[in-house]
Amino acid sequence: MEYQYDLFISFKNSTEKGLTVDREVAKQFFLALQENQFKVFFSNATLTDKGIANYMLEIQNALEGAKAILVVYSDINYISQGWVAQEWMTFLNILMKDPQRNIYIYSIKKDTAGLPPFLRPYECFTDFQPAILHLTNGLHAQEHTRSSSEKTKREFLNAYWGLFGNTDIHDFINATMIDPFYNHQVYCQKSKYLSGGDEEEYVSSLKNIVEDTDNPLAAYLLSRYYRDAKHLDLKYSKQLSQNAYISFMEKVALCPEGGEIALVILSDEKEYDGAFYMCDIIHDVLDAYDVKSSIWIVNPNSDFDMEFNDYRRIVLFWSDVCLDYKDDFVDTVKNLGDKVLIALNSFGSSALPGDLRNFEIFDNNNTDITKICRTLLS
Amino acid sequence: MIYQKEIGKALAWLFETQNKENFGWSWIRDISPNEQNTAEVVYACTLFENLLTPDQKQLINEATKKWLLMPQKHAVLTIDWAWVGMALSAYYDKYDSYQPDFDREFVKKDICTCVETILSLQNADGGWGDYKYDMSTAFRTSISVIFLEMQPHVKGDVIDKSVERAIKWLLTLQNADGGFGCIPLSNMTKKVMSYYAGVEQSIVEKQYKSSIAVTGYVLWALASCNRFMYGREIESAANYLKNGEYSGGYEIFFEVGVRRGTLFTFRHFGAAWMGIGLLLSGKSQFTEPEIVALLKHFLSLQDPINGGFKCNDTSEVYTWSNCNSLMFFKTAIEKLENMAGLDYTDIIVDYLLKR
Repeated sequence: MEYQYDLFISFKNSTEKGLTVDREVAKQFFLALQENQFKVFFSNATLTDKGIANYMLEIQNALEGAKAILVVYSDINYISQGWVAQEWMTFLNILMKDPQRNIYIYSIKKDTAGLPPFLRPYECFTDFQPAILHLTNGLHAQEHTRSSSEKTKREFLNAYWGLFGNTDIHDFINATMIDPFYNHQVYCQKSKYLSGGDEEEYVSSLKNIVEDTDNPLAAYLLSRYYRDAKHLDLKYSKQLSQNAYISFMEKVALCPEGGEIALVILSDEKEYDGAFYMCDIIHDVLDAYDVKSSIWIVNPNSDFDMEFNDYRRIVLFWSDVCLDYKDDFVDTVKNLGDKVLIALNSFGSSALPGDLRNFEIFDNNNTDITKICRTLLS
Repeated sequence: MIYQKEIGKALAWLFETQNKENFGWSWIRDISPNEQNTAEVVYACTLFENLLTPDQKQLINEATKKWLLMPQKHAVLTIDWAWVGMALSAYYDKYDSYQPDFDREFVKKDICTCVETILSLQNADGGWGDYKYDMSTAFRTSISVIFLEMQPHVKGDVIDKSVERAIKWLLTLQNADGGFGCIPLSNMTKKVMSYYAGVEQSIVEKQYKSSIAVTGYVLWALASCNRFMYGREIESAANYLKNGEYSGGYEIFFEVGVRRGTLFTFRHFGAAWMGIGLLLSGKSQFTEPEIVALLKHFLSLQDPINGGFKCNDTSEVYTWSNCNSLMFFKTAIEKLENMAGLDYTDIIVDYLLKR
């Protein structure tokens, strides 16, 4: 593909205090790379040169026509929200459809700790000269050594959950996985079924997975099949959910504690339900981006006294519409403030205590699960 | 049973759309369930409990356990309490057929909770809004009356007095044309009108003008009390419904109300409430033209693919439109079954002569 620009430089131009240092550093990158005969989009220069009135459209066109983006920042808040965040998120969407492109990050203050997880997989520089050297070499030669049919866990989950708007999973189902993972087979079977596969084949494949590996996700999907009026067997469905709970707890026991995200399942029954399902798959996505998360299963009517202050985000997965909770549970959640996201297992927020209805609330469906993932990774 | 095939398909649609996580229903497929829609479905299914398979009964038991028992966990608005109460009352009567794993006395206790709560939510004017002190409306008041009148085992002075005050308030809604409006015109004070700022004038006017949905609903409430006591009012309301012009279809009433100072909207299935009101008030028989027209109308609204009943030609199938249709069919079938033998003979002879 022919690219209009070799590099798009994204940076925060100004704040209410005036022009930013980011702008100066971005300009240095622009001049240095231009000297090396690269076609660089630097909004201050390019838009002035072209005298373009339709700023937004030109930015969008430049992003679509750029082979790579360089995100320059001195303060993590400058790139986690506003225009800069929009630019790199837009570029990520474009990159998902064209893996020849690339993302580079430059931290002026050498502080990479709070980098949004979506950006973490990409190269981040902290010194100017090595960055220039690397960019000049890198922009010339971006060869992909692996074959196009090979996929990584991250690519697979991006496609499965539509994290970048691309929900075409078809190419991923039969691809060779570089790093196969625990739930991969379950996702593949479900995708095949949803794209017109045979129901009996799907159910039998889930049964095989459950028999072979005790996979809780497969057991959960199978248990919901037996809750349908056409195939109803509530006793067996319950048994599957209980077995899935046991195997999920074994999985949780192997997860290290700590990390930056707390995934907290609120439940008073030993059954793997929709709350566990959401938690399980969000854990998969976070893991694909090397974001460490810990899973807690908590009964809010007896033991919600954990310390969650050290986590960047806390997701509460509310399992049951009838769940009881202690009075001080609501206060504890309120004190955690904006860090908290609430995911409800298929019931409306009116079932929540009034004080918790103002939090960000998500439902148990694919769109909302994707939204939670994007929130945690952005 | 007449219409058994159609009713069976409509019931099957309900179970297809039931949430597999918590066994509840929403107003449409794939949306988080809520107690009011779940209660409506349990109520409608229980009307046809004899047609449910053992599996479907199990699913109703799960829905009841999760959403209707301990109603204080979910019910907030008057309309929630009344529908949960109605569903539990119907379920209580069919308890032996459902054979759930919880005690019948639990159901009874929760019905009493619904009764007590509904009584506590009644406004000073005798009507009900969604919360106490919200402006009273015809729908909330009628459904409360209908539910309270379903309670022969807890019936007492308190209920009688409450219903008497409610009916008195409902009758103030009757307009000169015999039909009922949703709220009295006198309630449209400056303060109330300020809430409606931005709402089209014609929609605001429809709230107090007569409509078939409100009239049918109020008729149902009046008939559930004592249809002879309010004979004159019932007669003129029935005439309003019978003399309406329906060549363009039956109205879906778009209620715009005020709940705790903010507007809410709610759709009501005019044809269903009209049919139920006319039949239960005894002002129409199964064979009369207005009922035959309604029956044909409902049958035309059954989705040929999924079997659910829509509310008009172009709509999707909603749980409420499906359940309201089932309620109408139940009322019509009961009317047919209770017809005198002589009437039946006339119909059959008439039919045979026309062949």
